Amino acid sequence: MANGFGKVRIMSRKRILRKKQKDILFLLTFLAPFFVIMIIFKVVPIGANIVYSLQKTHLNKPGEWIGLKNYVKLFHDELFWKAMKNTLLYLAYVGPVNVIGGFLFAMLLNAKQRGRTAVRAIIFMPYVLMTTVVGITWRWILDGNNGLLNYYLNKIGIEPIFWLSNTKTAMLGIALASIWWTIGYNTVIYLAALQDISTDVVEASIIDGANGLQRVFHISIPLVKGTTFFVVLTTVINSMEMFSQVYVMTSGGPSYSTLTLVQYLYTKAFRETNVGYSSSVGVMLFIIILLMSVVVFLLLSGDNTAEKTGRRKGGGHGGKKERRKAA
Amino acid sequence: MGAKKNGERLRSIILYVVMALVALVFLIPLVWVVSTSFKPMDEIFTRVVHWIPRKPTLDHYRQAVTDYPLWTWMKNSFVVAGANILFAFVFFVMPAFALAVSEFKGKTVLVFLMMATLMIPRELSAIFSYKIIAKMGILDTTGAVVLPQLAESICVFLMYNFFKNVPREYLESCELDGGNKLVALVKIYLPLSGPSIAVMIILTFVNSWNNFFWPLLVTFTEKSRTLPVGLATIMTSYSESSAARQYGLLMAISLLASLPTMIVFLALQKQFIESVAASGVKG
Repeated sequence: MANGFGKVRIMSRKRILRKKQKDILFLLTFLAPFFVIMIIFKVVPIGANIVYSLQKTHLNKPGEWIGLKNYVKLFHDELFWKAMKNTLLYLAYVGPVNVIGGFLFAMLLNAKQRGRTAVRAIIFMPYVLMTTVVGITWRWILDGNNGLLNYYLNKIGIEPIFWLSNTKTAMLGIALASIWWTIGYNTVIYLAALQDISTDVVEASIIDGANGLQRVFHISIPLVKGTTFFVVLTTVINSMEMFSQVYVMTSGGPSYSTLTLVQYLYTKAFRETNVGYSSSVGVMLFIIILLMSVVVFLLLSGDNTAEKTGRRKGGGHGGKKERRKAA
Repeated sequence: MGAKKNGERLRSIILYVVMALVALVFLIPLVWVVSTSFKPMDEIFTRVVHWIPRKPTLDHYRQAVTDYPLWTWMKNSFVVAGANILFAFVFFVMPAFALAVSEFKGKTVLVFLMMATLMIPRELSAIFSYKIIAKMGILDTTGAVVLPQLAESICVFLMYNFFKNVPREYLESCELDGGNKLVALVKIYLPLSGPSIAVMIILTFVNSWNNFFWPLLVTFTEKSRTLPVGLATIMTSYSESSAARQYGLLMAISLLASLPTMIVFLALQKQFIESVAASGVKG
C-alpha cells in the first residue's frame, strides 16, 4: 500500500488521468461481455417474469394488466396445490435420505480401508449420467411386469407393485431414481469436509475416552455444520425445482400424482402459452425457495466462525476437554 | 493386545462387507442396463432374471444407431459443451479477474447480482430468454442453447474466490515491468490457478451436458437437439405398455449416450470427484 501511494505522488496529473482511462477500459473489456449477457438473460428476464405475473399475457401477444388476479386464481387452483403437495412430498422423500445417507456414506468412506476410492467412484458414478438416462433406466427397473425391483421383491413375498402407474407409489419411484442419481454428490462433499477435520481433534477425543458414537455426535457432526448447511440448501433447492425425471418417467401422471411445480410452470407457459399465469407459479416457487433458504440459514449457519478456527487449530475443543476432566 | 488386534480385524471385515454391499447396490442398475441391452426380446420378458444373456445380440445397438440420430444429438451436445468451455475464458475467467483485482464503484452491486441469480430458480428467466432468442431469430440452433448458459455465474464465483486470494504483489510487479492486466492474467494468474481451472471446466461440462430444461424449450429438430432432449423425445413417444416392449433398444441407447462421459469420468475419476468436492466446499 505504502509503495502504491508513493508512486501516485510522483505521477503527473496527465499520467494519473491516462491511468484512470486505462483502468476504465480494462474494467469495461473484462466485465462487459459476461455482465451484458447476464443482464440480458438473467436480470431482465427475472424482472419480466414478475411483471408478467401481474398480466394476462400469451407468448406472442402484448399483455393486459390484471393486478394480482393470477395469484388469486392460483390460490383457488387445485392443480397448483396438488403440484405443491407433490413437490413437497418429493422433497420429504429425497431430502432426508440424501443428506443423512450422504453423511453416513461419507463416514463409511472416511474409514481408512482399502478399496474406498473405488467405492467412492462407484457411489458417485450415477451423478455423471444424464437425467434422461437415469429416468429411462429406472422406468425399466420399476416396470410392473418385468422390472428388476419387483422380481426381487417377489422373492421375499411382496406382490408386484406397479410403481409408476400407481398414484400412491409413483412419486416414491421417482424419488428412488433421484436418490440413486444424486446421493453420491452429497457423499463426495461431506467426505471432503470430514477429511478436513484435523487429526489432533480426533486423537484428543480418543485420549479422552470418547467412543465411536460420541465422536460422531460431538466431533464429526458439529465440525461439518458448514457443509451440512450447503448440502441441505442445495438439496432443498434442487428438489423444489425437480422436473426432468418426471418429464421422462411419468409426464406428471398418473392422474397428476407426480406433477411438480416446475412442470406445472412449463406446461402453463409452453404448452398452453398462458405466460402470465405460468409466471405467477414461478414467483410463488421463488418465494417458497427463499423462505426455505432463510429457515435453513437460521437453523444451520450460526456460530460458523468458531467452528472453523476449531477445525484448523483443534483449539476450540480444549475447553470442552477441560470441562469434562473437571467433572 | 491380541484382543485389540482381533477387534480391529473384525472392524475391518465389517467395513469391507458394508462397503461391498453399498457398491453393489449402486452398481446393480448400471449392470442391469448393460445386461438388458444385449438380450434378445424373449430373454428380456421372462419371469426369471438372469444377469448374463444366454444368447447375446447386438440387434438393439444396430437398431439404435440406424433408427435414431444418436450421433447428431451427441455431436450437438459436444458442440454446446465445447462452445461453453471455449467461451469460459472471456465470460467466466476475465470478469472474475477484474472483480478480484480492482476496487470500483458498483462492484458490490455486481457481486450481489451474481449471488441473486444463483439463488433465483433458473426457470424464472426462461420465458423472457425464450422471447429474446426468438426475436434474434436463432430458435432451434446450437447458439440458442449456448447463449443463456454463458450467463450462469457459478463459475465466475469460483474463479473470483480463487483470484481474490492471489497476493496483489504479483499484479503490481507485472505492471511495473510494463505488462498490462491481460498479460498479468495470462502469464501469472492462470498458471497459478490450474486446479481451479480444472474445476471450472469440469463444472461447465457437466452442467452443459446435463442441461435439460432450456434445450427442451429452444430445440425442435435434429439439427440442434442435444442428447438429453433427444432421449426424452424417444422416451415420451412410448406409452407405459409400448415402452415395455422396447427396453432392449432403450437400454442400448442409454448406454451409447452415456459412453462419452463414462469414459471421461473413469479416466479422470480422481480429479473429477475432487473438483466437485472443491466446488461444493467453496461454492
